[in-house]
Amino acid sequence: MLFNSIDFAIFMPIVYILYWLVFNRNITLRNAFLLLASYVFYSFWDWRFVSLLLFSSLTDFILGSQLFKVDDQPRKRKLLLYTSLAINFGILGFFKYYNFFVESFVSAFTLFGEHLNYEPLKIILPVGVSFYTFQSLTYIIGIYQRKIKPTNKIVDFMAYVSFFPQLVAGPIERAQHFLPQFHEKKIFNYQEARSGLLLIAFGLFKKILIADRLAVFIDGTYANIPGASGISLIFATLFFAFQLYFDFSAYSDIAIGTARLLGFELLINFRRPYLSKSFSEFWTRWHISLSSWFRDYVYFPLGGNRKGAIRTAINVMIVFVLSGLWHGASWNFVIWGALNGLFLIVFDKLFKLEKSTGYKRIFASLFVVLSWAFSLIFFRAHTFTDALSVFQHIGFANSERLYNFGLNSVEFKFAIYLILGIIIYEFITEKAGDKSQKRFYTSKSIVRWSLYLVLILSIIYLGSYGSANDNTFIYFQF
Amino acid sequence: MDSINKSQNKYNKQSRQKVIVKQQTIKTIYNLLLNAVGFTIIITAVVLFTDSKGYFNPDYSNDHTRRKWNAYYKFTKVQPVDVILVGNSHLYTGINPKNLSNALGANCFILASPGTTLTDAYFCLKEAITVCKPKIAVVETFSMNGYDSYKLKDGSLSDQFKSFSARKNIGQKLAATPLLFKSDNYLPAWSNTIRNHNFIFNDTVQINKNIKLIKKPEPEKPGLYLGRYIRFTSGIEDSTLLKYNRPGFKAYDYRKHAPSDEAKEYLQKTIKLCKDNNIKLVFLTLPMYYRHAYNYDAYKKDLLSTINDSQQKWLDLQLPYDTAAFTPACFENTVGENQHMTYYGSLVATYKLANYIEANLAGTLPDRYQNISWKRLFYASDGYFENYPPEKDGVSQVLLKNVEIPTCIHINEISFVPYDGAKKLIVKIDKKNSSLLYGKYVRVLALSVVNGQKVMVEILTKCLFAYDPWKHYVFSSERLNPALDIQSIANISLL
Repeated sequence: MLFNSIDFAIFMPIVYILYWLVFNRNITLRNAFLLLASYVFYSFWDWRFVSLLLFSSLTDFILGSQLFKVDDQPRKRKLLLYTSLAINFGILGFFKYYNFFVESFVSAFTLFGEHLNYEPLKIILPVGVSFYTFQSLTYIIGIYQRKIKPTNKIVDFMAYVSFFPQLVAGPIERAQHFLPQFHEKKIFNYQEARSGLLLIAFGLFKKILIADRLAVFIDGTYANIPGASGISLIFATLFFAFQLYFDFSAYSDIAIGTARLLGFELLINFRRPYLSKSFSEFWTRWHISLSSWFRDYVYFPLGGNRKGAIRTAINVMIVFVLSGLWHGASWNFVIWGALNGLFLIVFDKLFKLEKSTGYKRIFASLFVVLSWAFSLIFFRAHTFTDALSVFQHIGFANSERLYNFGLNSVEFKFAIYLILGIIIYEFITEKAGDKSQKRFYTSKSIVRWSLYLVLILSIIYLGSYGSANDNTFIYFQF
Repeated sequence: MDSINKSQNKYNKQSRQKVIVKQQTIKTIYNLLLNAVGFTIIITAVVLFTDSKGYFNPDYSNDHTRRKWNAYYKFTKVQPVDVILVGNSHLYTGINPKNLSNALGANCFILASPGTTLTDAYFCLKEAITVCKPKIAVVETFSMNGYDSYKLKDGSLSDQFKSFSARKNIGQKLAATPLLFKSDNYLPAWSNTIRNHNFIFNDTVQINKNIKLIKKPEPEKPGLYLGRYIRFTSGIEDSTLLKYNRPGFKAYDYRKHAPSDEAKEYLQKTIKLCKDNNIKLVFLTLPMYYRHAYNYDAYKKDLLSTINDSQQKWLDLQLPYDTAAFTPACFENTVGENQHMTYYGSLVATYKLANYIEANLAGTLPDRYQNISWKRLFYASDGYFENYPPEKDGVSQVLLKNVEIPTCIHINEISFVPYDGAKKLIVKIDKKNSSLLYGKYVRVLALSVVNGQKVMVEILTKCLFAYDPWKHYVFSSERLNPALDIQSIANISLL
């Protein structure tokens, strides 16, 4: 079920009313209801894969309990941890990476003159598998690291793994932060609910008005790279950086808003990343829940920055290559990850980006965004050959073809105005902090209602939606 | 005792507070819900406003599906409809309802929409029946293919939107919505604002046109309209025919379009709908050129097993194929998958359908020719004079009635009638007393006055399959000079 679908518009109010008025009397009952709602939500995509979710949850619940029981037996603890890692990464590996690794293996043999016959398996990638696997792992690793105690409430744990607002595309929660919220009694908070609704509306605005509009142009150009030769590819590359941001941050906003409606607080996933002055800062603002996951569970265990400059650089590269691979089973994602690792290692130090202030900061931010957009060519292109084709054809020529890729001049300019509008808004909120939000919530109801109306009516009248549009969220494929 | 009382009081106070907190919580939840409902009402009202004003309406001037439904509702206020025909573009290009009405002496109406499915046709039929229950329903079979309503591609989906939007029965449309559309298309199906909101960016001309139409609505097109749409006037050309010779070429392979489970389900539902309403159901398969369609027999077998009723009426013009009747002139000049019939082809098919109904469902339809208001409505319309004698209209002439010509042929009537801004000569010959006359000519020598001068004019009339109602053979001339004034018939001969 997509957040930007009629199904969700019907599903959510029903869940909301039942949740607060019927099931909130008892914590177990409430969590059982959340679990059921989450499985229904997931079933809208493919009900068969609910069993995988169930299996993954049950396995980690049992292994978590066992891990705690053998607290004084280090070998058994390790064995249980590795069992969980093997099962979780096994699921992920089979569904997501099987064909990729076998194909790479076969290609490697071809290089040496051996031709192996291989028919790729027709494997459906379960939506959200990368997200809920990582979230489930934080529970096992948390118990192993003795940061948390296992829960004995299976329903709570299963609801934690499958919590529908963030099930399919995050934010990836940590058990120590999120699981206790399932044990709490929830008291309805009007302000929280109101801010949750505003977040949902704002998320839909970003997704339907901006991201999906940019998608029309980007899909058009990437479908015909030689035809889009010239300035269209420059715009497509820049637009994709914004499409990805608005698409994914919209999803996160809606997820956080939905969770807030149910009395849960999710991690913030984006903090105005395009205002970052350096690459290291960028990665503390972009997809925060994943970046911090890799930091805590890969980078730190590898030694982080405590083992000298070269080892630090190697650790960074490992994290970024893995992060690339997490996004998708293709060499393009590996290159994308590696490029971003290199940017962080080389450019931050070389240009001393961290120290830029004043007007230099603006240039630093521009440099970060442009480099990021450049790396995204590998992220967006379907194949390595396509990515090379983009580099081959990108340029400043053929401006007359700019409006041939799904957006006419009016819509093209409108998209640019929207991007600029959001950047200005982010700049203001960056400076003003939480004050602007507080001021908004304490303003007169006519002001608040006007903003709500403008947001929703803009979506209806100016949104880019319809049967011809692909309205799925980009991160669903991961 | 005191301590017990105190603790009791404390307990009571705590539970009272709990109740108050609970009540306040519920109140705030209701407040939020109330605000949300209020907000939704405002948004809905704004959308309904722009819908009612029609700012985002598509160009209706070419929307013949809407025209059909408007005409149907209007027509049924004046006359009951006896035969309803549903299907897709193959039907409204392949059957001429005026000719059919005149041939049957009944009211026949086509409610077909382009590109739609049997599911849509079923709901069309259902609404049509609610407005006016016909005696016969004709369902064209081309809409029974491998579709799935939830997976329709852009073009077909757009056609389904059009068909849905043109219908007027709110209750039936509400019930049909989840069956015709996947959930994301519910709102676009109901609201032009939602469906066409992108006009703001790419068709402001249409928005401006719609604003003008609010002030000055377009007048309805005059004349009798029964759902016909003439699209193709010339048949398959020789160069196109050569393309069929390409080795392995299959223009339309029915195997690729085997009826889906949904099509079969709605086939059953259509049969049940007609049965429940005591309506005679006829399936009609309009042909494509015989070299165009492949593996039709397998497709038909599949449908027949679904119907599972040997008594079911089915006029199949594809198999067996009448090569003499359905010549290349009957079909659209294409080897693309979708081959429609030409105007000429539609007349052939129309009279074949008329003959089929007359032969297989005799007595089902009333004879409306006796009804003055029907006659007024249909007089001089397509096919009228082929079936009925002209009245004293100041233009038409009955030149001869009931004569025998030397070849022992009994001529019922020779009439000179108005035709599409000109005139034509029609010779009707009794079927009972004559042998097969298809493709033959009747030569009529007529004493005529042209521009004030008396001249002898030779007029050739041909017996076309197109004009073959069950009553008699019809020999028809080409368009004749409207200034021609025939005084008398001098000679008639069969060539």
